[in-house]
Amino acid sequence: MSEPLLSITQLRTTFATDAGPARAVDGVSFGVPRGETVGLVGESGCGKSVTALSILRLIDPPGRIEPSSSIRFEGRELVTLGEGELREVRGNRVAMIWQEPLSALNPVMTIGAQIAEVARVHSKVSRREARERAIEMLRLVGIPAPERRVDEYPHQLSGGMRQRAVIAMALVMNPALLIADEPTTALDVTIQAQILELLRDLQSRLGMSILLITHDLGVVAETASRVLVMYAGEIVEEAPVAELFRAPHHPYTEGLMRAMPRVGGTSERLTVIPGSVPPPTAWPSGCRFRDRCPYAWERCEREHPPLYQVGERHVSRCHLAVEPERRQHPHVPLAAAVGAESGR
Amino acid sequence: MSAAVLVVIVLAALLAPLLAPYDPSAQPDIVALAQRPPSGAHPFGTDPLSRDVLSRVVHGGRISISIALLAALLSASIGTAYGAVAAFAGGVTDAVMMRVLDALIAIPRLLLLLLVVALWGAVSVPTLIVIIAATGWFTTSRLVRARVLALSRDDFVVAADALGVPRRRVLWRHVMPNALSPVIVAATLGVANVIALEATLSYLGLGVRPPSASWGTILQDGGDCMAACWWVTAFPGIAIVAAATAFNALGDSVRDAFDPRGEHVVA
Repeated sequence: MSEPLLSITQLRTTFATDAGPARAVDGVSFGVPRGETVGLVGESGCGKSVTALSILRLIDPPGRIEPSSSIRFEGRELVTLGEGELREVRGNRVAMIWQEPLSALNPVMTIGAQIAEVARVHSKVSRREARERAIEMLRLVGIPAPERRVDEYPHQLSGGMRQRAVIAMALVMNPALLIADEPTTALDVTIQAQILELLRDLQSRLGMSILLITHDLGVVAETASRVLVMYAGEIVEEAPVAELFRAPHHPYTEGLMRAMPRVGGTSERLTVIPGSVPPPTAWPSGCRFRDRCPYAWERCEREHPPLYQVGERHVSRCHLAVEPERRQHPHVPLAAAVGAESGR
Repeated sequence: MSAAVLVVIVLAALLAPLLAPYDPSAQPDIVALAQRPPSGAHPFGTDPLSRDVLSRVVHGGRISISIALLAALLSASIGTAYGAVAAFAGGVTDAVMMRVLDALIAIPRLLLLLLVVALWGAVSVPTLIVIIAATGWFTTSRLVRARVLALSRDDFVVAADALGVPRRRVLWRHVMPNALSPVIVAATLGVANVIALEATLSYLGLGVRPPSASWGTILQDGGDCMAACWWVTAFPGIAIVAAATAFNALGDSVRDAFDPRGEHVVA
C-alpha cells in the first residue's frame, strides 16, 4: 500500500496555562488516504479543531506542537518545515474552510479580490487572469451570475453563498487536502445538505482528500469513508463508516449514536451522555471516559486502554475489547450518579 | 442641520476672496470707521483698527479650518503609525511604546502646547499645525493598537494566514483597512477639538500672528473692548462654536455609519 497523503504520528499539541500544560491533543495518530474523506468526530473541547490547526501549524503561543510529533504530507515533514515552505503548503496544497463563513471573509474586500489574492500569492498570474480565475471558481462552487457576484462584498451574500465563496477561496490552487472544520454547523439544514453535496461533488471532480471535522455524526455518515472518534485529546475509535454505524465498539461512540435524532425512531427522548469532557489540564488516569461510561470497572481506573484491534481496520480504545462480557451489565455512570445527587 | 452649517462654513472658507466685501487687513480710516456697530455697509461691524469684521471672519475661517483639517489628519496618521507599529511589534517594544504613551497622555495637552510654543517663540502656521498634531495623536494610537490586536485574532485574518498569504500582505490588506474606522471617527472629532484649541492659542497670542488672522486672532483683537464693541468678539465666537459643533456632529454620524449595531441618528 502506498503512503497516505497525510500521515500524522503521535501528534501532541499543548497549551501553557496557569493550571499547568493543557494537553489538548495528546498523542493522535491517523492517516488521510488520497481522494478519500476522513471524518473526525467529537464534542466541543475534545481536541479536534486543535488537531486541524496543528496540521497547518496555526498554533500560536502559548500553544506548541511537541517536537516529537510528526505530520507528514506529500513527503514533507510539516512540524519542522521552515516558514517560507510552510506558506507554499498553506492555501496551495492544503486549504482550510471554517465554521462561520461571514467571519472567515474580510468585510472590506470583494469576494473576487479575496479569491484572486490566493491565486496571486501562489502563482505568477496577472491581476486580470486572477480575476478570471475567481469568476471560474465562483461558477465551480455553484454561485449564480459569477461575473456580477465577483465584485460583491461578503455582507451582500447569503450564508450559504458565503460558505461557497469560502470554498472557492480554499480550492483556487486545487489543493490535495481540504480541511473542513464544522463547515455546515452555522448553516440552515437545507443549506447544509447543499454544501455537503457540493463538497462531495467537488471531491470527485478534483480528486482531493477531505478531513471533515464535525460534532455531527449525521454529516459524517453522508460524507466520509472512514471515521475517527476523538475524546479528551485522543482517538478512541477508528473504523470505516459503515462498520462504525453497524457495530460501534467504544462506549463513547455508542453514546454519540444514541444522542443522534433518528427519523422513525421509537424512543421519545434523545439519550444524552452524562457529564462533560474533563479539562485538558487534568486528564484522568486510566480511561479518560470512565466517569461517563456505563460499563466502567476497576481496570478502567488502573490501566490506560491502548487502541485494541476489534475488527478489520477497526480499532477501539476500550478494555471491553478483551472483556466483552462486561457489556452485558451496564450501570449508572459515575458522572450521572454524582450529577443526580448534586442536582437535588 | 449641522451638515448645512458645515457646508456653509467650508464654502465660505473656500470662497473667501469672493465673499468678503473688503480686504480683511485694510484699515480704511482708523479714526472715522473704528469700532462701528453692525450696519448695512459692515454687517458684522468694524474692529478698533477700522477693519471689516465680516471679511476678517470669512478669511479667518480659511486659516482656522485649514489648520484644523491638516492638524487632525497629521495627528491621525502619527497615531495610526505608532499604534500599528506597537501592535505588530508586540513584546518588549510594545510595552515600552505604551508606557511612553501613558507618560505623554498624563500631561495636559494645553500645558504641553504652551510649553512647546513658548520654547519655540513666534511660530508660523505650518509649525503650529505640526505642534498641534504632535500633541494630539495619543488616544488615536491607543485605539489603533487595540483594534489591530483584536483583528489579528479574527477569523478572516487567521483564514488569510491559513491560505498562505504572506504576513506583510495580511497586515496591509486585511488588518489595516479594517482598523481604520475608529481612526476616521477620532480624526473627525479631532477637527472640532483643534478648532477650539487653535482659537485658544491664538487668543493667548501664541498661535496665528498678525497680519494673518484666524478666528482666535480676531477674538483677541476684540478682547480689549468687549463691552464697547461686542460684535468684534461675538461673530468669530459664533463661528468657532458653530464649526466645532458641526464637526462634532459629523464625527458622531461617521461613528454611527461605521457601527451598524448602534442606533442611526441623522445629524
